[in-house]
Amino acid sequence: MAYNILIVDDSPAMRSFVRRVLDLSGLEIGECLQAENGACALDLLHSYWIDVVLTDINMPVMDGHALVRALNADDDLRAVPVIVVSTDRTEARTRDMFALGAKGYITKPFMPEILRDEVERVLGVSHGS
Amino acid sequence: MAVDQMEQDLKACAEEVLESMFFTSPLSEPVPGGRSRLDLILAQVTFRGTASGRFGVGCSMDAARSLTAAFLGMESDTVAEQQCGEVICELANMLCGSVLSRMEPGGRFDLMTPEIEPPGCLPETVTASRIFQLEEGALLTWLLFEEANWIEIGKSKF
Repeated sequence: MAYNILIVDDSPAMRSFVRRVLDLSGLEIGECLQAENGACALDLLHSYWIDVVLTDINMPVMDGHALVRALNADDDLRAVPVIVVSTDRTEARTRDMFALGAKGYITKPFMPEILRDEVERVLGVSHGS
Repeated sequence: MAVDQMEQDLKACAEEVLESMFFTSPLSEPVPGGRSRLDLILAQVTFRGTASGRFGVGCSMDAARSLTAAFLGMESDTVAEQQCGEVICELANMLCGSVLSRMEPGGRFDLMTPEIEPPGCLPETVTASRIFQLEEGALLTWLLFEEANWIEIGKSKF
């Protein structure tokens, strides 16, 4: 089964990095869509089937907090799992994002296999399956 | 927190970021930074929260090309200047978040979008700074606290 993934980050470089890690992960990727902020991500989520969202927190226009909150408030999108990918490893931020509904949290910097393992955990698949 | 502890945190975070995301590591122990390094691509992040201030990185062009190539999975000679800027901004973002979280795990910080600064645009004083020697050139990191309740701020001439 191929998974559709949405990467949300205002940094084109970080979106490319995450995309590259996913390509090398062994996970079967279908569509890998990208958005530069939460508002663009919501537009894509209303138009495409997405299996998992990887999102940064600090972004202009609509940040990661607002995106996760909006997903949780939307009956059609509430089930889409969100993994936060952020430089912020403070306890308060991590707690906030899980309380809002995030299913995973990865702190930058991360080893490529950490991202793969977290995506697989949230999707309920194992490496190579 | 003492300045020498901040410098230790800068070193630990830089090593972690470089090794895990850029697949490289400093060649030697870092040394204090300085304004003589004006030939660098500069990126700066402003942060607010438990403490407020700015965090910056500077990188020689050769080092920037090499870091960008490693980060994006490209050959160095195919890297565009815009891509170097984007990657150095992301490097500043990751280092800033990493350093602040390490210094104050119970704190709360908001990081603004990193921006490229004009050549030579470095602060007159900093709270802590370090230069790392990479294979392709120097990487400067600096941290400047404007205000903080939890820290005795000492600033030194940059």
